[in-house]
Amino acid sequence: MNVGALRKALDRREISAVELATYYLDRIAQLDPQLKAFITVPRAEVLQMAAAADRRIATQEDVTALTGIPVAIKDNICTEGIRTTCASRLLADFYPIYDATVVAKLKQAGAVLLGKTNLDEFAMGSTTKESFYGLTRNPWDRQRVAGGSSGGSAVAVAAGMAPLALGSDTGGSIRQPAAFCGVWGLKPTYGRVSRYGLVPYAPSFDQIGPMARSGWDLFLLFRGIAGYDPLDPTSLPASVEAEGDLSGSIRGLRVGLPREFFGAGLDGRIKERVLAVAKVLAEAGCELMELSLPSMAYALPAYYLLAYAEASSSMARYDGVRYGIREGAEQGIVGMMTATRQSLGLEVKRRILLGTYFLSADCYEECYQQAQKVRTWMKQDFAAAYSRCDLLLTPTTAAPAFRIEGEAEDEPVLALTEQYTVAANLTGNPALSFPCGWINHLPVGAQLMGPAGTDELLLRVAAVYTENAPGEAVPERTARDVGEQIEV
Amino acid sequence: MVLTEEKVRALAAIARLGITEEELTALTIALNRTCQYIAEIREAPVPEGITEAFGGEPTNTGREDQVLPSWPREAVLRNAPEQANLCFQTPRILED
Repeated sequence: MNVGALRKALDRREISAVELATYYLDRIAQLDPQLKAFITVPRAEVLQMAAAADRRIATQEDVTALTGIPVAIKDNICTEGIRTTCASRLLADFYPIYDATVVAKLKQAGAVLLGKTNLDEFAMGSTTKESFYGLTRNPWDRQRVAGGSSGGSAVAVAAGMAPLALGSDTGGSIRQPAAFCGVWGLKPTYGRVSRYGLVPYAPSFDQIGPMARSGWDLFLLFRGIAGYDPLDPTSLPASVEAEGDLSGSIRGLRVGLPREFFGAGLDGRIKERVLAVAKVLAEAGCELMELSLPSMAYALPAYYLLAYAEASSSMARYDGVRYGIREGAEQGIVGMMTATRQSLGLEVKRRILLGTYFLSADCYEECYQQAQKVRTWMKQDFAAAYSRCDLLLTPTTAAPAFRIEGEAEDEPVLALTEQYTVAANLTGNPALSFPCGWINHLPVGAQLMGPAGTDELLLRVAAVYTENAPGEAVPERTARDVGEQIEV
Repeated sequence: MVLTEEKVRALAAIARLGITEEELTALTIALNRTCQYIAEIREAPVPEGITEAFGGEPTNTGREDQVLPSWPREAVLRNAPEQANLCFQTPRILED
């Protein structure tokens, strides 16, 4: 059932918010021991929030599109009084004293926070294997990765354990797991959604965004979290329309197909499905054009250099003084910091060390500064492309979800999962992944990118595609089918 | 190899990052692999005139000063591993 249908059922009192929350809590209890999409599910608090939503609905006071609707939250987004671990041992007992702005907005709207979802430790990874609390499995094939780092949120939505979820996206962490799990995921324009209360990985790249089972559901959640926030100095003043829908013609829109996203390394079957999306858009009146983005050849190296440099700085706060665990206090202050940080996982350590190296005198000028220039070049390169077309259509990933053992250890395979997504983070532009078909029962995602501020346009175009190609776009198996595959 | 084990150990010391001997070996291999991969950026044909100022000229996003309530100290200290006299407590930093 989509969020619109849940809204109607709640408003007509066919179901209460408590009953709805109980349904999802039971489904989590049934499926999650196998999938591990959640780290924390605070059952008592969930039911309290649902009861409060029922009171709002009963009195018809302040009822919004999200009142009584359960939303899962990635566990790197602060929730007052609810444990926020970032999937790290270091924050196993961290209880934030404030809500992230997105969480405060959802609470104000009457949404029910269902639980905190699994991720790669501190959002550093693209598999959700790098979690201290166990790896998240892909519901369509449990021997395969969910993608990451928002793998828990993607699986929660795909397996029907939550109708909506929040993720965060630094280099593709919403869109890649969305593609691997057959759901929708939006990396908003940088600054449209407040980062206040998002535990930082690489602040000039990080964005919180919505994940859902349809374009309309995604739009509802996006509208609920977007908007200016004085607590985030990088927040954009752009307003968000309280009303509106995704209808409207897309006739005459110019859709670019950049060559660099369809070349070597791309699975031919994914190429075929994304070109089928282009065909549907052309039939709906869009004009297709091929173009080139030469700066893309350096997107991944630039991303690694800049994101890891920022990560090394962001992670300096975990020193055993203000929050998190403390170890080695008997070794003096430096010994304590070093011993405390020893508990971080290997992937986080890898990124901290690389970032420290990239910012060192050995590397700063030749690599770090050069990466900053490449980032500016990319911004200009994409701006030039957007002067010729309105948006870009690409695959989200070069291959479908890979096996947990074996392939996932191979660095080139991991790079292939990020090479099409990092551009939107480097340029700050919005990007959307939506389901566009299947390969051997594994979902495939297509990606739409546009200039800053075109988040709603991307959703509208993808919605038109879905409407006109339902057989391919709508997952061929329902959430219940996912549940039935899993022995409980 | 750009980074030797000795150099990785030095980086870990700068980053105040405890690593085991086993991790040191694995990390040295992993770090060199990434360094090899990103090296090509040195050759990137960045067009003339492009600077590092990614977002254009910086603008001040500061707001007017406004007096607002702050967090109670008890709340801020709630997650501290150790505290004393309403302050974060650390191991001794200065010698007597």
